[in-house]
Amino acid sequence: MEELTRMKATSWLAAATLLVLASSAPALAEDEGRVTISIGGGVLATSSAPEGTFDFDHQLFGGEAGSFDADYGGGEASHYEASIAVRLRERFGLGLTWSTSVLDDDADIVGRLPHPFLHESHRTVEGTSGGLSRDETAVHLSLRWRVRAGEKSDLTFFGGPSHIELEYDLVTGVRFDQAYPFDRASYAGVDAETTSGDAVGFHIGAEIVRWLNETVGLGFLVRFSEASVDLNGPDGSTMAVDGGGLDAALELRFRF
Amino acid sequence: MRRINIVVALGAALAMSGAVLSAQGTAVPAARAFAVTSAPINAPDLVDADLTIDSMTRSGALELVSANPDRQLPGHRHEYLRQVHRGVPVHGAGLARQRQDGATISVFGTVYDEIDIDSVPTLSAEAALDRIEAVAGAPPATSEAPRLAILPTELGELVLTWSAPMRDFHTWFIDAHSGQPVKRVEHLYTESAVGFGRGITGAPQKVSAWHTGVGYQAWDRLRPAEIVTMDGRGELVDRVALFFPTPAWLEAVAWDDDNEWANASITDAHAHLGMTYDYLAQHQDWHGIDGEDGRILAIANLTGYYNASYLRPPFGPQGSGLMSFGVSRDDVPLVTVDIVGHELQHGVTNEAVRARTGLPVIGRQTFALGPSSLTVEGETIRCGDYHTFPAIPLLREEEKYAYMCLDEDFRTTTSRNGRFAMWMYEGGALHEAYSDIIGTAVEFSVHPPGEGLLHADYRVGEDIGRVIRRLDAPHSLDLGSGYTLPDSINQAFRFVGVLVPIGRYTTIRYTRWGMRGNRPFRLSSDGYNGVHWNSTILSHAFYLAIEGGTHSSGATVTGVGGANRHLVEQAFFRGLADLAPPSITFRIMGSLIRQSAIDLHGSGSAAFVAIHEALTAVGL
Ligand SMILES: [Zn+2]
Repeated sequence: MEELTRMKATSWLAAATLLVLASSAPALAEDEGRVTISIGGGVLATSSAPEGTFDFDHQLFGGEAGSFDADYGGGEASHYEASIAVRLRERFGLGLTWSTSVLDDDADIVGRLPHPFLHESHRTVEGTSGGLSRDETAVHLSLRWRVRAGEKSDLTFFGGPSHIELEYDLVTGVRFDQAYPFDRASYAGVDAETTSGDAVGFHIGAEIVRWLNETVGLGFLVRFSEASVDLNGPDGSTMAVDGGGLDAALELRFRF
Repeated sequence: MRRINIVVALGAALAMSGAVLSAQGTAVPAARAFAVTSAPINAPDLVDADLTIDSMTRSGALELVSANPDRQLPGHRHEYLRQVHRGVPVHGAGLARQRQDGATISVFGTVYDEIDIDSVPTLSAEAALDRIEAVAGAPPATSEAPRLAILPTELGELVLTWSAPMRDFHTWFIDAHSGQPVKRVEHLYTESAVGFGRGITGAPQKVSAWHTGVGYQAWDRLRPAEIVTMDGRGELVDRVALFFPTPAWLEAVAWDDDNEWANASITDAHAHLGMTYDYLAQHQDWHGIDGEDGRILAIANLTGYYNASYLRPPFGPQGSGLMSFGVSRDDVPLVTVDIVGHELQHGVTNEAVRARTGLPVIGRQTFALGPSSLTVEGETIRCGDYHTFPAIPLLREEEKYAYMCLDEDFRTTTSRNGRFAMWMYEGGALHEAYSDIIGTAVEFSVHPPGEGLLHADYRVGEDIGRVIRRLDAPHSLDLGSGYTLPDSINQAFRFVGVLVPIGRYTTIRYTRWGMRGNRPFRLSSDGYNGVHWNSTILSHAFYLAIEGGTHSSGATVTGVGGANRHLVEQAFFRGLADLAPPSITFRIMGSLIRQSAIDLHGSGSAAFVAIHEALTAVGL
């Protein structure tokens, strides 16, 4: 999964660079505004999909602990953002971005269920659970460096600290169907609980804007962000999940 | 007709001799025992048995009790027909017929020819119940009307009787005319012949519990049959109330507030009941005690109760029986898997037979002719002597009765030339044998073979520190003074009896004297009937059929091997549960098990050969 994310990131960066190189009119525009705001949307490729093995209890386990492996899929979340940027000097400025992304995640589950009557006689069940929502809200504070400012287009690099809040439906137990003599059981879904956490990390990115007129431009940006968020694991353990990832967004940018 | 020549059954013997034992000289009818298997040599006998069944059915002397398809074998059907005389059932008489694709393949049971007895009782049912209450000294156990039946007594007579289970845990039979007691049958199967030693496994158990508002109850609702274990804590006398139908059992259900059960007696009893249920369901296709997943009730943690027992219906808190698990004299709970399996199987033995025949296994007693005198450690008894039952203060005065001896014509005699009638409680011994066999099978289903704790072996009671029976080597277990458990019918413990008059009837009471094989013995007290000891005759055959080996007689048996133990277990279980009539002896049981092995595995199978060799080795 991570490999795939990296490949996608590479191709997006390449696309952005091509876009910049293709743009013309390198002259400075003296009358351009100092403040820009934008709204946009795109996708966020989550950078980490957690996996782990957790204990869980059930009334029918006769005092033995059950356990399950959960391997979350991660993937591409719908991503929305709004930002404001202020030019402080010719080529440098500050930006503040609020973003949110929503992912309908799934997880591959392997459950080991103690037998209700017998010791050390686990039954194994397997299944995939969907519908696990993974929501991120991030605030990125950016130092912006406009490396190319043209009449029609700008290329800006940016980076800085990010605060990422992660809200994740984590699997807390495996549901199962069983019947006497209970030597087998079948997977019947999961129990999940929403858990959340937040952390400060970083982001870097690049943005290219093609100005349609004095005020309105169309932008494309890519951003890599990461913050290691500790979530409360289902069995009381702590589960570290990397929030953020690589996002790509199209935006509408206004300057004043 | 291949009729088992009942050398040891007094009824037939007396019929041959024309002798009578009753004071009024009632004619004794001829008992005809059928043990016709599907061995090719019996083909003509099967035809004959069919003709007998047809003609008796036509004349109304046989009445269909049940007709069912086989639980396991397609094309096989079983029916049980009980004998009736002028509309009144003859207690325990009837025939169990197995058919395959319409053709009769086996017939087992006993019927009586030429019954000549008035079937109209002088006493009304109501008057009879009053009378039974008076002779039992206890009120009826149920609100049901007493049953009218013609009872074959141990002494071969047929008596028209009323019977009812009474609150003294006995079913009493009284003469339906005179109201005099004829017989009483106990409902409690105990292991009281034995003491138990120290030690308990300490192995972890899972308790299948039910979560309630206040905690967890030892009430298994996961298995198809509910299993409820009650807590015997508190006054023993209060717990005895649970031996009778009472809603109070709900309050006695064992519970624990956090499901971490601390009481080893309750934990082990409850878990082992579940394991026994599982074994029966999964290995024998038998569901619960009654075969229909009825609720299973037990009480454990009975301190002060130095026994384990099964109480059969209509007793128990729901009238469906009750297992009780007490402690050894050293306060070790009697709840190991073989003991729990043993008690539960007592219930199955009765209910499996009752489901088909309407009657549980009847405690059949038989005798063989012994010598004229017995000498043990310088003390001698002879025919013509009297036996003294010592007084028990407040309960019983000293009683004296003549030893039961017979002359050459099987007449009772007090002559010095008479020979002791040596009695054996075969029905009870078979009951115990099956309980040990299934208890052992359960143990092998949950533990790997081997010695020591949590290993399966052919010893009973090993996990509480004292082996009380050995199915593998009965001769190695010394019961005292060099008497060992028998490994063949020829070595059975047989007891000298006395004839005790009850009204115009006489009943048998066992004395402490007897013979094991050819060796006389004298126990320390009267009253034991040897059922646990004699059980190893059959249970040793079970062992030999599985493990093989050389019998003490020199006979060798090629066992099926531990990996195929289920073949032997199933044949033994089916012989009882699917084929047996209520009235069984060791020899009839031998035929039933052979038939069962033929049905299940075929007469040419290694399993049949192993079972046949093993039964032959023990003299059955
Ligand atoms: Zn018993």
